Amino acid sequence: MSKKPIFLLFTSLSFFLFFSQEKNVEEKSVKINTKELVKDKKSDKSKSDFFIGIDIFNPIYGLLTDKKGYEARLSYQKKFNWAYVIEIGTEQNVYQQNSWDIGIKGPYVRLGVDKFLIVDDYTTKKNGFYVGLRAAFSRYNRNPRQVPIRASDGSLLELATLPEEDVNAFWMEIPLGARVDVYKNKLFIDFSVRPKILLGGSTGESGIENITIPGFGLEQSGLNFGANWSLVYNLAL
Amino acid sequence: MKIFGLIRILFVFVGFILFSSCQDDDICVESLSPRLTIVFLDSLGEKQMLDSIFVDVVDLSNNRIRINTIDSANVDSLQLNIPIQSTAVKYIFYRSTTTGITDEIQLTYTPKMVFVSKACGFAYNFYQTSYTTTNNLITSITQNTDAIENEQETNLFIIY
Repeated sequence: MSKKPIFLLFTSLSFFLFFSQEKNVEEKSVKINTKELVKDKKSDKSKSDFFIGIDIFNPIYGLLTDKKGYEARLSYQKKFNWAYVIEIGTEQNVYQQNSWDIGIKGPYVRLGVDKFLIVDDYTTKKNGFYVGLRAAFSRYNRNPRQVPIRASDGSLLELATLPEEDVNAFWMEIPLGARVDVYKNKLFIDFSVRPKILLGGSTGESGIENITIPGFGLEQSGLNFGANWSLVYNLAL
Repeated sequence: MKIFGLIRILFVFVGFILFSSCQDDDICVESLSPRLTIVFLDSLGEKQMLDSIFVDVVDLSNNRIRINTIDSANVDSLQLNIPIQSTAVKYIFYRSTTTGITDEIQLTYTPKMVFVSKACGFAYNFYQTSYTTTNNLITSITQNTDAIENEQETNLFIIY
């Protein structure tokens, strides 16, 4: 847990440094291309863009912790300021606190939209800040290798092992992020931080509620925060 | 200028993550495996204060443990531990250690594991409870619940 904030700070700072370096160049290009702006806006209506990406943050984070996961994303933009996004991934994790030992693994999927609020580059309209919304679902395998059973006073009565079971969870996320060009308007970095709100799910035979979920992470009073730092490639059609 | 405003929002956001990551809600506050709750009544059905009561618990393997020694204290109720790796338990009640007259109440039950929370883990509840008693000093007993699920509810009335 303790390494996560430091890593998050580092990645977000590096992003902001990077973004501020880009800015001067783009401001010039805005001035040069003002005349073409009207023309571009018209052509944007017929232009669609696909962006495919892979998450770099979580695989690196997985090197430091027991949480191992991979995630890919595909987004489609018909109008430049609205993107339809699908994110799919797989994750395995363990929860080993309070005498629990639970292993989980499984896939997850998130569907949603990103609304680009500020577009930084008026010639391409591919760089910008966005706020989004995701509906997410995971069906995963849970292995309760050790569960604590407590007496009236809270002391540990015994430890039990319960059979593996398949359970599911659904939640929503509100990504706040940015996409910025790193190579010739083809390769981008997409960074977002996102609060996650657990909405529900199944408990399985054991009755255990969702504790840690692929794509959601550790549940804390139904909430969690996540980060995503993806390398994205633009397929203009 | 709007860009800087958004950068500021993002920084606040990241700061919030740093803050929230340090918080832990893993404190167990829920009620766990309940004890058997007994209330003493007199012949009129009113709560009765006993000046002393002693209880031995005897499990199925005949291990006998003194679990309650309440002497020179007025009590009208008791909470007794229920063995989890068993389906029956015998409680031996003494009104005084010197007279030697005792009563035995046998409780049979089905223990069941129930999930409480991430912080607490599991607890045992006890279902299909039934009681038998001797009637040396105890006039009668009245079963109040079929299940023992919390400690707020009286499970058994003993009438002396």
